[in-house]
Amino acid sequence: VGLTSPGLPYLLALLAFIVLLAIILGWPWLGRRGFTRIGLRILSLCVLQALVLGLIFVVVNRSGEFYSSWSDLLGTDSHGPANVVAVQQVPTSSKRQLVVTGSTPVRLPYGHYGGALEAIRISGELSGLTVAGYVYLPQAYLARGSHQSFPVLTVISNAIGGANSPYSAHRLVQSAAMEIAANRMGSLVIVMLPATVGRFDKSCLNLPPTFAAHRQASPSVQGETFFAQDVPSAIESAYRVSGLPASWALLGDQSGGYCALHLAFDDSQVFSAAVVPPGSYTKPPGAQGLTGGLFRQQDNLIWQLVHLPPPPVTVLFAGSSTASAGAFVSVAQRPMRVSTTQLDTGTWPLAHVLDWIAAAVGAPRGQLQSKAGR
Amino acid sequence: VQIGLTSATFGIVMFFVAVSGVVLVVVLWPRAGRPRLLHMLVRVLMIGTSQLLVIAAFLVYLNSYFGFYDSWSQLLGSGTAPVVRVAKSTGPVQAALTVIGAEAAPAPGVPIPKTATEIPVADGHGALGGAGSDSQALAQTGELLEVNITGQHSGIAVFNDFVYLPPQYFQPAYSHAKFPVLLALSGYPGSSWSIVSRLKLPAEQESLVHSGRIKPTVIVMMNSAVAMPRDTECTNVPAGLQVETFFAQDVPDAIEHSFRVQSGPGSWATLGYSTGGFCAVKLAMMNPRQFSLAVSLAGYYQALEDHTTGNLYGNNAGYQDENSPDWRLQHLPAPPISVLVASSKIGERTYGGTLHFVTLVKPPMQVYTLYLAQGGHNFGTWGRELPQSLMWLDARLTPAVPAAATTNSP
Repeated sequence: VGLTSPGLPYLLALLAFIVLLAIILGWPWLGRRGFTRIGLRILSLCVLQALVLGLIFVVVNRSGEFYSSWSDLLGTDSHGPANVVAVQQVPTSSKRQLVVTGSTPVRLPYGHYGGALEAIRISGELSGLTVAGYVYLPQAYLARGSHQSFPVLTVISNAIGGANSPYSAHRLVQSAAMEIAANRMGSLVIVMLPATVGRFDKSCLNLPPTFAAHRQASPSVQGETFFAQDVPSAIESAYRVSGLPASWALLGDQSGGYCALHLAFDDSQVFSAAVVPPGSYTKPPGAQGLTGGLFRQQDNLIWQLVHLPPPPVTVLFAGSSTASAGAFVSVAQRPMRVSTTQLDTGTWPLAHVLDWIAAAVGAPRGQLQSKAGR
Repeated sequence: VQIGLTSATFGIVMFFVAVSGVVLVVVLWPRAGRPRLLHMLVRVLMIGTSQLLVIAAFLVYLNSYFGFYDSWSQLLGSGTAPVVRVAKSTGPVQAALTVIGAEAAPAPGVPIPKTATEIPVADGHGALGGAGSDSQALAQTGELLEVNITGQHSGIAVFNDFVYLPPQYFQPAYSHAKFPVLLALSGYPGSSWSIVSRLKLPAEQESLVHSGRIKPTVIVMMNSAVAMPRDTECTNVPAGLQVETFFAQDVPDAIEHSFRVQSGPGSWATLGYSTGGFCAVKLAMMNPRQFSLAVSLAGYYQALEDHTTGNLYGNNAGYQDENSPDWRLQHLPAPPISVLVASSKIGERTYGGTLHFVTLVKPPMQVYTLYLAQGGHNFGTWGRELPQSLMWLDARLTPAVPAAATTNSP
């Protein structure tokens, strides 16, 4: 009879019942005087006990499939060790995570050069999202013989491709290059990406697929995975940048502010600082159908602040009316730090914000820009 | 006086209670000997009681043998407790890792106590405290630390998990070397101590290192269920326990800040059995930058939800899918990791699921299999799979490099 054969529990139960019946009926006979009878009492109880324990063990073992056979139980299995086998994968041409599609030098007044602006495309290894954006490389990065690793600012805004917004790639880079040239700001690499990545994205969240009438209504979107894992991986593979969280910061405008702050909260193992417009951040923008229910409760960043440990990040709320960031200022606790600032008026409203970010990520300063350019 | 569920005292008490039950029945036997209905009932009652006492003692023994529940709180706890928040903005931030016990690591072939209560309170042990006189001894044996870890991101606090530091960690040649890390996760219900005492992972590694077949790693041994008796399946529960974050961010943070270990891709691996195997593969697939290797012994590859887990996915079928390795391989790009899956052809109901999982894997993910001809869902089987699993890991992890030209006596 096998340890796991279906008949074994019934057999044991039947035997136990028979022994129990025998004990109850034979009780007066077993109850007579004499050592033999006492011995028989003990023996009969032990036999019953063994059958009951055996029954329990066999039933539990069958339900948990702990031991597959008597030899398995007794440790006498003599089957030799098996071998590790590699399952052959069909190799695919490894897709480049980052492709540079264009590069223009950044010109400053009086014939100075302020680094380079590269147009890039990132193919997210884990998210599967392919997103076009820009990378700014400061002059110090391009200097001959430079082996330094630079900190990284990730700008998230739907305005990066535009012309007039302070968050457009060209104006942002111009602003940064001038601040660096004036030695008010350390050198850092700036990655600029849109806030909306892919057709179904909403505020760079990981969104599971949705179903309607047992059919998939929308696919899984890995927006957070794209920004928190794919982007660092792609940037670190293509550029001389630091991989430490202390060297990575985020900047978002109205379109990418929620995304940036959410990443600072949930992925503080990647990012240590974020600058976003003041706001309440209780739900993702454009999130019709996402609100309500337990599942999306964590999208409320105030909820996170109240229910989860404060993340080890520094957040700067930068905007005209900083009062709406009041909830964060009052609730935030160490190790999280919260500050507010007004944006400058004038041509370069983000200049001092960039200075602040560069200082927060420890960007190297004081390298004078070479006049001759590249 | 607290009497632990797995303590020797409790086991002895239960044993004597059971024996006295049997003795009482034998002694009082003649008093229920009349042919009356009442006496018949008393007979059944007497036998039933004594049987139940023996069964209770048997269950206590089985629990401590298999390491299902480590303590009364693990068996009877609420399953929600451990989220820790900083009380005051001015107060000190809770330390990420606290060593609460330390002793020489168990040597290969030496019996290991069933319970971990013998580990003495730590003071001045080799790893974190002053490098005292015992560091010479530790350079021979290695050290086993009992630790509490408080997650700085998740807020989850766990107690009585274990960190194994190999002998090399204390040897002068390695004094500046950084070690790769293996995160080992227990099944459910289970305990971290059973990884030491039943799977014998530290002893097995030491035996293979000693014979020169693999290089040493630091091993972090944890209960995959962080809120016993709830089965949390290494999942970020919506608006609940952030268990995936705990294992993927908090534990690496705490270990990398406390010990001389490597960080970054290629330096951390996961290994687990049963639920721990599911966790090992899921954590690596979701966090390939942290865990580039995973070993699953008798794991499963679909996200389960049952009465032991409670609501893990916020009633969201799509989110449950995202926690399923099978589903991820079918709907998302495969991550750049290598996975070893082990099962047995006879005696393991995970075998079919393992075969299915293997067919789903696509590049850049690599999968390796280790199938025993026979073996059940138990430590004996997993122990037979362990040497090859450790050798497989060894071929892929970045080893700790000793200072040049120092010969180590074997």
